Amino acid sequence: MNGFTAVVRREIGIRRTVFAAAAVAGIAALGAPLAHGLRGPAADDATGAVGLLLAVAFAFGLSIALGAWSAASAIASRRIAFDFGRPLSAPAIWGGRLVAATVLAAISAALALLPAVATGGRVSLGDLVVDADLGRRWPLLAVVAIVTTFAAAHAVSVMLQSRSALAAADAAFAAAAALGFFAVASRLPSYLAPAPHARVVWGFAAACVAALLAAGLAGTAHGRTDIRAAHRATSLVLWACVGTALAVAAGYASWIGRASPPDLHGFWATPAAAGPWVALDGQAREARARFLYDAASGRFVRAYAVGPSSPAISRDGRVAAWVEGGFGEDPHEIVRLSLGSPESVPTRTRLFVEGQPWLFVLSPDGARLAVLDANGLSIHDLAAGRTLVSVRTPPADDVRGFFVEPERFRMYLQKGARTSPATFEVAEVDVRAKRLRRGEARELPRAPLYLVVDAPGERAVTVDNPGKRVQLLDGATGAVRATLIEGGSDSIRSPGFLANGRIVVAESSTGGSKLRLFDASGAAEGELPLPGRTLIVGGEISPGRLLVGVGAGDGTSYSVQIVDLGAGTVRKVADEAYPAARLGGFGLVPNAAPAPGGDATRLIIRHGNELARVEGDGGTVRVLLRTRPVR
Amino acid sequence: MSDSYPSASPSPVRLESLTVRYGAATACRDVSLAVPRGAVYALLGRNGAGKSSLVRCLLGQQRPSSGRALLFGEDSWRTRRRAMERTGVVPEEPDAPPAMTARQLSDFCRRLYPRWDAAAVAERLRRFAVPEKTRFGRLSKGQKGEVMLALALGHAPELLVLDDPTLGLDVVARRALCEEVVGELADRGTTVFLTTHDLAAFEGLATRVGILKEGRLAVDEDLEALRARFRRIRYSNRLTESRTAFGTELDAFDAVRVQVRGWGIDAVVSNFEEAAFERFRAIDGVENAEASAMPLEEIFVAIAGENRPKEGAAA
Repeated sequence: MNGFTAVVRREIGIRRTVFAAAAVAGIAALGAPLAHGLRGPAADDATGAVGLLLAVAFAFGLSIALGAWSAASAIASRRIAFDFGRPLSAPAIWGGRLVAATVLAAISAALALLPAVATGGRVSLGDLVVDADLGRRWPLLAVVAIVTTFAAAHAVSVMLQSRSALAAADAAFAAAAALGFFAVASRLPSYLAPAPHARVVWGFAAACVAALLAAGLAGTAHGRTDIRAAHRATSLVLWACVGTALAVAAGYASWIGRASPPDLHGFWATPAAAGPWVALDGQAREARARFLYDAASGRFVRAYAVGPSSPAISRDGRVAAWVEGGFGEDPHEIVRLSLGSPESVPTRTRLFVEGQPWLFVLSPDGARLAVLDANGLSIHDLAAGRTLVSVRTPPADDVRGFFVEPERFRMYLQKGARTSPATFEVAEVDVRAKRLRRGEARELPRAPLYLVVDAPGERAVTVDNPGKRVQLLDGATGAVRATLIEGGSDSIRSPGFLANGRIVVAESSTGGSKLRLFDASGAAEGELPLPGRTLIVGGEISPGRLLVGVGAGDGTSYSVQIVDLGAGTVRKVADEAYPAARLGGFGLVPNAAPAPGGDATRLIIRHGNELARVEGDGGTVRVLLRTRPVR
Repeated sequence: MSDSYPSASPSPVRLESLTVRYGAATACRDVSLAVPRGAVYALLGRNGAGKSSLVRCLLGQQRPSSGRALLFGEDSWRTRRRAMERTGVVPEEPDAPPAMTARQLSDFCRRLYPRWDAAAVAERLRRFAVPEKTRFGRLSKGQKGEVMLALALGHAPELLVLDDPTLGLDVVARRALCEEVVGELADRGTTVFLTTHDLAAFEGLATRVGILKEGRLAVDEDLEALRARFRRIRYSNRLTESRTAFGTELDAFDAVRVQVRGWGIDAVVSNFEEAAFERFRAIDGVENAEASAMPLEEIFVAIAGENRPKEGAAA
């Protein structure tokens, strides 16, 4: 320890004039605002800014200068033999110079800044750091930055002063490490895996700092007065440490990326309208994880989808698509997956979207994709990877849309949904004509748009829960055909179409819940009271038989019941469970109801972490996937 | 060189098959030597013979390509710090921080050596007339060397290593340095290992000599023994009835250099013996033969200064 402190004292002592230089520079900088005629707050800001600039210049200028010349040049010129000719250990020689340089740089920076602070200059040190949390730790950051700068300058200086061909290898290793790091970090996008991403970034940064310090020590200890030996030792330790850190980061990223559906901590499921595929969305290994899961075979594909929505699945259940981001940056690329073939893998389409798409809808056969983003609505041919049409869409607060047929994409647009009156409009994009046809604007409804459309797009049911009104519209024009419900209690209502064209509206409130039935034209047929205070109407497992989740009203505890609309009977199938599908579909695609009798109609989610299937007439429930418990 | 060194009391300095390479170039090759306690070992060699590389290896400042350097019986690369507590070093190029004064350097060293004698250092600097408050970088070359010597002796080392210490010194400074070394030797029996070009300055001090030639240790023996076996033999040569050719008269000696002069033959032999010389003188046609002792410098030149094969004795 004596040796270490002796070196620190010596190194500070022989360079102590920098303290005076920093103080003089700091005082001289006070004149800068006056020279520019600044007064008042502007002068305070300028004083603070100049003081801060000086402090940064002293801190990093000294770190670089001392790193490059204090130790590295001493080795290159063999002046370091003075220390090695004395009973000083290599850690004392290297560490003493490092600590002395840190003290010199930090105190000089403080002395350069002090006059500005003392005279009321406004200095916001945290502004130098983007992250607010880090900004509060600026003293620690400053010391780490100085130490890192010193060690990096030392390493680079040793590499250059050795005049060895190894320097070219160092440059190659540095480039490879940078590329490797970005490759690893891009596997953990911050928007999907913020905690692992931060862990990798900061962990790798810490490893690089440690590697630089260890490399400096190794170069000093094993090189001593031989600059080339110092270079060899520096490079070996530096790149071994960086390589190891990169390998650990890559292994960690790979482990995160290899998560499978059972690793999810609970999930949200969106079954395909037809077929066995389910889009699962949840957290696995601290990352947002989305999977396309084949409930029949257990096969799965991970989708690194951007944005709040799960991957879209075509109505025939054969194609999925989503957008993937490049390290969170625009534009995002559309990725396609054929679900029909067990060997298929996600393929990039070279089609891009700007920002988060508002609408992302596959045609029923999956051949086409409609994307509404900041640039308007585009319809792409997914297989060919080309855009068929792009149109500007009218301004709207809410947009829902679907393919009526491959050549026609219909949108329901609502403007002023949260103000009264709101306008409602049906518009269609004609793919062949490459134009947008707008319909008549109507005052309907006042509430945020919630509507369900039948599969062919002929009829639509809109729900205005605040206005206590449910109406049947013409799907193509938006014209009102009938009012199904008007007034009544403060109920939450959700509609759906049955296979035979009848309309069912689930109505739930604190007073109870019921299913209200209407014929195809909107005439009331009757109602079926149900236990519980909330309802989730799932699919139609067979004609007239619905899978319904009945909740106690606390929002979490549901049981799954089979409701026979014809017989008027209700039978419990499973506790702590709810249907995976919705009769009214999910999201912004209003005709995405599960195909009657299809796989999706029988899927339930139990305990929040099990995907199960109701078999036969409801006598048994088979667990298809069990994930980790919900956190 | 012999490998049979005593092991009970380790030599302060010992090299075992030491080789130093820089890429394809070899600075010194397979050098083995041992310096007994209390000896003054002078390692001689021409420029580029590998002396400084060897000293750096000895001091644990450079890793040998192969072989070992031992200080006080321990590998100097591995135990350098411990060995330096017992060793004083005067480098070829004074390498103290140029911004420090001699007094500051002494203060710095005081924190490193438990036995540091600051008063003795100050006294020695006073004797050398080195200003204590002048920065090291502003001192003359001789003064720098004197400061380095004062620092090297400040902790009364058991071993003093001097790497060409008189390089660039004037006559006065050189003499002062030598007197100081002599003084130290007289006072403490310190072992001295030095490399030098200045053979005359250290001839009276050295007890043992090593000569590096083209990276190899050509000579390693006591100075007196070396002097005893090296002689310059001068003679004239003529053909007689019984002697019809030149070139065989020196066969009884190991002639390291033979030169033909206007007055006759000038030869240097490395295995001189009086009896052999008497037989040589009796050879028919060898006339005016005389053998003279050689100063160390001439022995060095004879060994290290000649790279060509020895010339024949033919006229």
